[in-house]
Amino acid sequence: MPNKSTGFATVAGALIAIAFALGFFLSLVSIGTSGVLFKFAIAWELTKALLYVAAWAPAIVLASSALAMESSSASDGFSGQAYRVMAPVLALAAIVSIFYLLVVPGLEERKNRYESQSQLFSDSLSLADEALREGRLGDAQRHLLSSAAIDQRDARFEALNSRVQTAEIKAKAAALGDDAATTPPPPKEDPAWKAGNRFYLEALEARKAGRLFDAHYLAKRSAALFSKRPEVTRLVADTWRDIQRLGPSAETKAAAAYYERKLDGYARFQEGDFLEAYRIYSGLAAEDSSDKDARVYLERSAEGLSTIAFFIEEDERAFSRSDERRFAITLSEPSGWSATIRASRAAPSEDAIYFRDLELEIQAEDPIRVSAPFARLHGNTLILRAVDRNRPELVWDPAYDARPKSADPGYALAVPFDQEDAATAIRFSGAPGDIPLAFLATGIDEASRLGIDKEPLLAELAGRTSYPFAVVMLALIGAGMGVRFKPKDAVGPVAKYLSAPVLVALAVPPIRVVAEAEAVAARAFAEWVPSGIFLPAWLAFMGACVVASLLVAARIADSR
Amino acid sequence: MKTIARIAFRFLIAFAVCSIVVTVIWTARYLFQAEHVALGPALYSIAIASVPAATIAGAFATFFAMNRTIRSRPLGFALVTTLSALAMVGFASLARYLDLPADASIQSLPRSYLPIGAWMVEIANAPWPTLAMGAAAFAAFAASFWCCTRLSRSRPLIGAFLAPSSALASLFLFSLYLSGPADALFSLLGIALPRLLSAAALTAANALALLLFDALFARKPSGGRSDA
Repeated sequence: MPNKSTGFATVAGALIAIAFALGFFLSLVSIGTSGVLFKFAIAWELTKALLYVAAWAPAIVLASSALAMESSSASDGFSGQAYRVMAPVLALAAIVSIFYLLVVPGLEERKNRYESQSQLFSDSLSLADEALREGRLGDAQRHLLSSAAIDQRDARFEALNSRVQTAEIKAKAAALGDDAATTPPPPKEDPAWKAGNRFYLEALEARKAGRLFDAHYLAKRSAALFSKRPEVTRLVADTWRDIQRLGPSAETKAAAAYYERKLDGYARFQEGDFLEAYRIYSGLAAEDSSDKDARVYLERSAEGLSTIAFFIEEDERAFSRSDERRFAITLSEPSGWSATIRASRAAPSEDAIYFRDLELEIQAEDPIRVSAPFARLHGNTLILRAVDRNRPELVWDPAYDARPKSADPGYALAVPFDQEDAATAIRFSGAPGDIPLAFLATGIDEASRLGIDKEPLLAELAGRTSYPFAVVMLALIGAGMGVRFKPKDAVGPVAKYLSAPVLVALAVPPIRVVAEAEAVAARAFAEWVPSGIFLPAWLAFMGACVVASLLVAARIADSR
Repeated sequence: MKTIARIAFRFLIAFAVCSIVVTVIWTARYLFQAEHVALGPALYSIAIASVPAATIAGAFATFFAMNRTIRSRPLGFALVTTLSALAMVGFASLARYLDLPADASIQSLPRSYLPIGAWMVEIANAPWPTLAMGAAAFAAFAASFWCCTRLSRSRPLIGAFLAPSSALASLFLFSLYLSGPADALFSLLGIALPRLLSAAALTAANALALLLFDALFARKPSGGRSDA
């Protein structure tokens, strides 16, 4: 067996293991400057280590191939030994190619996601902190939502979230206590005040115990002793009113009020004001979880609400599981309309696409120009209003510059593109290196229809498809070098294993230079070859390169 | 003589192939970047700018043939230096006598190579003594890397893998010699030299250092098949 006599499999395996270990070490060293969140650290380091292996794999193939030929018994030229020694080398080239084509795009996408989410987390925290310092609590909450979708356990998030919550509570308390704050403090040293206060406290207790006549009597006495306290005057009036209205019990009154709110909620539901109905029923359900009506109409109003708004938690869920990408598509029809949609970030989920900082412009007979902090696209319905499920008073509405007559109030719009178009655009709007090969091979025309520049995508497809050819070329040239530079005496295993990583390190810079040249060739094909024959032309070119490298390898080996 | 002719032929072939490939690739890069393209002047300028890279490629391609055919280090060094210098001066003369226009297209060269390309265009248009000095120093510098292919007789493969990286390292080193800090070195020593001459001096000094390294550490070329 060739790999037994040349030690090819052991050398190649050892080199891949060393590459992984070194890649992991480099990632470990660089994580401090990468800004990646602690939550993603290990996964990011492992992903980066695998990407290093992928980047160094061509050099590993070259060095392994050369070492295998160097250690083989070949002494009569390259071609005679080709089949025996090259079989495992070409098998490694195939494995490396499959890994590169099928696994590496996913790894790239994952690495970019970890980095972009970490960056977004830090940016959102900074913005939230700035908004909090400037007293813009709404903005602070909104930026915190972005961070919360990524990591709620981070110490920086917890600290800032607690500060924002505290500021919110203070703001509410300040709003409620404005009246009390303007009232001058009571003259507590005054004996009349002291005596009056004793009656006032007794009156409060009596009222609490339901002894309304006593309460009124004691309040009157308090007011007679010290008449400058507005709360005493108020108590006198209130207790008198209570006596006059002495009727049903407090429980009955509460039940009546509860029922009245239920009726109000139902009326809102019937009018189609699903947000207000949802607010009312969520309050009622919180008060009495056993009320079946409240639960049923809470569900129904949420269902109704979903036609004109979506819950912000859906957006958070989508963004926490997806790589966030800048989004832009442009569509036009010869009949006259054109649509442009841009968003600072977009994330797909199972049943919709979510956008942040969306801007939509439709040029048509009835033009639309609208922006919204949050949006959701389901089918071809774009919903521009977001609601916080737990705090329904928190709502994010769209802002129209040009509103169509038919879109009142404009929370949901039918748009001339659908969820599938948006999903395609998201797939193609990241770094081309992230895109899986299958999408690249089949979706470039579709991406072009959505206004995405197709030349970088074609160049990426060319680069991706050239990889198997490149590793085969390197395997051939390595074999040629191994035959040509065979030493007089057999190389010992120690010398072989020690020199293998050095050879890989020496091979990396020239391969990188050649890869840059290949990128220029790929771009030239993308720009100058018609897209209909692009792929066949490129594959033919790469095939010609393989044939040329086979001749070069044979020439190198035969110059021995 | 036959050996020398064969080595000269190999040098010329490697020089020409590298020059053509590099010119085509960099011209394509320029075409991607430029809005208004003047292809002729761009092609001439990039071809002139590619000469140092082609010289290095030619020299490194020749080293392996020399290891098998030449036993004398001075002879091999002189041969590659002469061939490299002739190639550089030849191209510079061509540009000078045909009055080929220098074009802004060289700005599109890779950033790491841009100072070298600009240097080549500059010396091609410099006075003859400056051109001769610059070309001779660079040729000696290129030839002095021969030692890298003869570091280990027991493992010639090491030399074969080291050569391409050494070729890239030589270009990187040369771009350093053309940089501001290298000029500042002479100012620090109180010597005022024009930039082209200071680069030539540093390049020649580097060549001498590598020749010393060759004498001390590298294996003598055996002229037989055991070397890389």
